[in-house]
Amino acid sequence: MISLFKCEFMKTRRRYVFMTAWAILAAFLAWIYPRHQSADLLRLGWMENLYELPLVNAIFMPLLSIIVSSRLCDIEHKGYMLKQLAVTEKRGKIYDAKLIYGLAIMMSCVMISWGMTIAFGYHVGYQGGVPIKLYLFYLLFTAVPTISVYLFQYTLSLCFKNQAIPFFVGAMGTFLGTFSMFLPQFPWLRRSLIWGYYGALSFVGLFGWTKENRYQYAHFDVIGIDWLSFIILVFVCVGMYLIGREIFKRKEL
Amino acid sequence: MLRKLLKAERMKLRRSPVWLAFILMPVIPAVLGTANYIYNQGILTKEWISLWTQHTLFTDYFFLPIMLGIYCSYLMRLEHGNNNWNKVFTMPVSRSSVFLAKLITAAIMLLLSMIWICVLFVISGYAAGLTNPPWLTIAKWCIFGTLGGMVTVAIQILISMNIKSFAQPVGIAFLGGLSGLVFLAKNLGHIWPYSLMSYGMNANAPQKIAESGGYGTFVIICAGYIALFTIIGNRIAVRRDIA
Amino acid sequence: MDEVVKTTGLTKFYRGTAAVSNLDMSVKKGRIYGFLGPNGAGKTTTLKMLLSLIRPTAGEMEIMGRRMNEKNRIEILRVTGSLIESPSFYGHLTGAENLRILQTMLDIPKKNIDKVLQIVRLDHQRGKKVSAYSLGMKQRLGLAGALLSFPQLLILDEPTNGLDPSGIQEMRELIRSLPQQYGMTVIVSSHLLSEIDQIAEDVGIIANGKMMYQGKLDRLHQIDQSKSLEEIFLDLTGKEKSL
Repeated sequence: MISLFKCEFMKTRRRYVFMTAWAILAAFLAWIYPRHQSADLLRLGWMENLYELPLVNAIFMPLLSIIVSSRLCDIEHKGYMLKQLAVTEKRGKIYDAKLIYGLAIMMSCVMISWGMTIAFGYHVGYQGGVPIKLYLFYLLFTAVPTISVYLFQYTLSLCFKNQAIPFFVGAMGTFLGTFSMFLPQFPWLRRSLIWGYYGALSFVGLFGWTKENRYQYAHFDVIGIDWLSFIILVFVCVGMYLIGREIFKRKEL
Repeated sequence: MLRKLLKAERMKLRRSPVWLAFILMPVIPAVLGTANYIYNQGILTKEWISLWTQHTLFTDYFFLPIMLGIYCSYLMRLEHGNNNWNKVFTMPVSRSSVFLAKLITAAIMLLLSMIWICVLFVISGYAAGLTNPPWLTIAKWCIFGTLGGMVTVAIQILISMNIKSFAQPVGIAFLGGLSGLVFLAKNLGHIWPYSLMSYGMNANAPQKIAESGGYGTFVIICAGYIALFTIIGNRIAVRRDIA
Repeated sequence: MDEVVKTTGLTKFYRGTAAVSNLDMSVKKGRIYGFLGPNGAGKTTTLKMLLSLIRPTAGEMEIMGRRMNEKNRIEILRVTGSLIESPSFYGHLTGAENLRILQTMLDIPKKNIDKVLQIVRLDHQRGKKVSAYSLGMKQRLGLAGALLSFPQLLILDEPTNGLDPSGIQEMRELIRSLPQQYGMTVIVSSHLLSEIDQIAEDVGIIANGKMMYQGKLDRLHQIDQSKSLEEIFLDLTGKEKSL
């Protein structure tokens, strides 16, 4: 397993997978941070992040997953390496090694963006200290949907030689997931799509916002954590892992 | 020469249902954007214009650039595999027309999906109970959106020709769409190549072409960018060693 | 016009090292020219320069009496067929569809497709996707593509790659028949002397980018009567290596 893992690392040399991921992450950070200026938002900053960032994550993390997984799997399709690998090592192990490598990249991005969010909050001086417990929940609720989306993309990228397919399917899913966040009227919609769980698991609401006064009398509050959704999602992850692994094992090369 | 090549491009796309994605993708904002519009009519009071903002939000900044990125990557990947450049560049056609044929093929797909987006828009407007669609305005969005989108297509074809990876150019398209949003927010959308599609479509942007008026300038800037990237692409295609 | 291909001082540098240096090649009309050399000697680079896939660093090429340059390139390619490195194809299309694409770009009659499919004995597999072809079938499809326009000059780079022994025999007979049947001039490269010995009349031996011997194959036999052809070949190519 360790040697397979090393293999993955060697293969991605000069492929700039980490660099691509971090470049996209840097753009993401550059995009979301310049806007916190007004006194109202400084007052509400910590909670406002928890309210707004799930949407941003719902766009970024799935798209990043598509790119990272395709990049890692395409190496195999191009060099016909899978054929060679499949004889020398057990298929399931290959699936695992590549998965762990990709997830490590994804989780590094989740962690960096999370850390930067907190660091930024202190830098601009949000009122009060960081509500660390809520932020840990937020971290969990960003990481787990990302794992599920990555698992999905990874299996698609590995199974289809034509990378346009995982890209289109993934982009469309991301699109649906993003839109589902704007439709609280259909709570089942976000729960029926793996991309919708960034929304389903967001737990902060905005109260008292008006067109005239904007954030002046507004406040954010915890509206309850949807643990049922979380448990469903964890099961979905495990299920997808097992199914993806099985598909890959049975795939004709 | 170009006609032969375009016909050849069309044949290469047979049996690969990439166009299916372009039919399916705009259905998502049409259905969900309309739903969102119906539920928020309290805030969204400008009827067709409001509905348009709901349809184009996300589509312009993220999904259309990514779809175009994927499409351009796909067109070029056909040649990157199986030594196909060897064959294409030993055909009795000029290398620059090979590049142009790819560009036009992608631009046609863009135009068709723009028309499809507008058709869906009108249908969902009626479904939401609106009447008297502003035909002229819709036609303008469609035409100028296509023109602005062609700048994206020209860059992406150029990038995908030079990067063999499928994913990397799409990542760039993604960043491009995002940068488009940033430049629009800074009132520089009218000169930044990746902003021009959203700008032309008059999407839910801080900077709008209809308000700043300059359709003439817009056409000139788009044409300039398209020409620039086409010339660069042609030069690279002509000088490249197929090693 | 006795010489179909004539190069003088043909040179290609890659990052300071010469892949081909000062190569004078002369191929006579209606003959089969065997281009022989060990792996990495510069065979493919030379052939790619003849097809203008690669730009020479220095030197001149004259093909069918025309100087190879940007102006003459298309005219030269129109009467040239080639199979370089491994065959080019679009896997999601059938064999016949792949040839249709080439036929469109070449602007030649459709019936050529049936004709070449018969020649390479692929007519029964014409409706099958190329991704499902065996390596040998792909190679034959590649040859069909090269023959499609019944070119005056045919350039084949290691054409027996991936073929089984009977396929190799078939390919040899086919290549040998081309000059009489269709008046073609053929350049065949190989790293196997036995291969060339059975097909070609003239030979050019290249090692480390330099032409070590060029002339009739029979005369090579006479260089040193005491040595076998293999030994002469090894002498010619090995000498350069030790330098």
